[in-house]
Amino acid sequence: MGTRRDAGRLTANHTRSSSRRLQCCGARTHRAAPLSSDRVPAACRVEKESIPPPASSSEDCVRQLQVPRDGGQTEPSPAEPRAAPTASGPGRSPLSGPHLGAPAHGSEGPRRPRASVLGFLARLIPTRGALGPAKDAEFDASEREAYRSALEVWGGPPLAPAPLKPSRLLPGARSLPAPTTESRDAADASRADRRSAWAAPPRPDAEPAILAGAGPEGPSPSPRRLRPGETAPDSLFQAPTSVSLTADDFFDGLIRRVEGDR
Amino acid sequence: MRTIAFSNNKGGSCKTTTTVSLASALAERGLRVLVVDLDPQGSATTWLGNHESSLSLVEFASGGIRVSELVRTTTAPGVELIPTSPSLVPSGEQSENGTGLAIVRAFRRLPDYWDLVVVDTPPTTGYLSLAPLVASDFVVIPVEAHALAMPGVASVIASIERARQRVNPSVQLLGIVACRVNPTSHVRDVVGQLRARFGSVVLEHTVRDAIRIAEAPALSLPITRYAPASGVASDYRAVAAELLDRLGDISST
Repeated sequence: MGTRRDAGRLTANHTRSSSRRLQCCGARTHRAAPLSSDRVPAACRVEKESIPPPASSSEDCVRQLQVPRDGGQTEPSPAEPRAAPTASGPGRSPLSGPHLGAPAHGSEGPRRPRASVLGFLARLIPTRGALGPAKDAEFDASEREAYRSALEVWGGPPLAPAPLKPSRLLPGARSLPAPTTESRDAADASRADRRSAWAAPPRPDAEPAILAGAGPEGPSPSPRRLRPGETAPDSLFQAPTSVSLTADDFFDGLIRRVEGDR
Repeated sequence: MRTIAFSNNKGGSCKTTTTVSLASALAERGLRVLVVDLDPQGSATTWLGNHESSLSLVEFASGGIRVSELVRTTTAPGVELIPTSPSLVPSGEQSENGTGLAIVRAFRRLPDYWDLVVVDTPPTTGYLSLAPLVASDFVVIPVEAHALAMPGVASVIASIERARQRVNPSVQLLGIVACRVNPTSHVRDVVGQLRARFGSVVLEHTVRDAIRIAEAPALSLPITRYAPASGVASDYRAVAAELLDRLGDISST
């Protein structure tokens, strides 16, 4: 009988064995090594057409460990909806990795030991689930576009995009040479442009409505500080009325009680 | 024996910190000090290494218990404590006025064993902060050096005035202690405003802002024991000396 404890132990054993076996049956290894199509397991060939989870390795491992397919308590009831066998679906990026826990083969149904193996293997492969350089570039482009459109609202000239952060740099860009005099001049010019753009008053017709309440006299002056010798407003030194009322009530109550005791 | 209430209606104004630290600093000078924790939060009780008690001044006022059943030793040498208690909060047929009166009577019944009784009050305008104004000889107002702390000072002064007019004409404002003073222009402004408004009632010495004072309660030690050589401990010693100067000869009373 497959209990949860047995399933957990099997999963752990399977994890260890699959990690040892990764070099021989992982999907990535198949892709890297020049294997002929007849040497590649059939399951891997099928998956390479779509987004290929290393299902063959896990399936082999599961078979070797003789994990019951029906899984006892781990098998969902037939009434439960099964996950779609396709790798990409609604609300899910096609660039992301295999849907963890979903069956690689729709006809076989979900199996938790296998799902855990898939999850383990997906963690071992760093590119799975991460955004690729293409997506990074796409994000940068959209960011620049949003920046430009924001500047247009304010009526200022479009500015040069800010330099990419190191984390956004594509692989290999970390070894860029040190900034030259020309690039420094360009950066300074960009900063000057930015300052002038923000210093320029916004067009009246483009002024957001929330700022329109600033008053016809223009922007409010900077907050004033107390000068030496100047006293704080009296309101800061006034006790709330409730304090006197509460104190009077309490003291009068004490007097009444003492007089009542007499 | 003199009774000093540390009072400020504003929370976070260093009442408990000042009560515990000054009690310890005064005890260093050889005085016998009793701390009475009237704050149901029990911060002073915890700071001095104790837990809340099932007995309080309310039971003591009724004559049901002896003072020795009420008083505890603390982590501060020379300082003893009457811990906070749930019975300070009235329940059932008891009223706040009745509990307040019991607290006032309990203070009158305390034996003349200690040189100083210092009272930590809660940050509210209620019977637990007003009753000490009836039972005490002096009031010290600790104040955080912050603009919003000023109304709290005004509230305590208003309460003292009411107490003097109605029930305790002898109660006096002993001093205002500026705490958490750091070298910023805003804090300088606030302390300057306090001096401009309240004059010499504001103590010359102030207490600096320091992480040591925040660490001390974690070990249930007063600052004079936790970091005896620290600047903030020196500040409290200086404030204690200044308060003693204002009190005059304690032994004569």
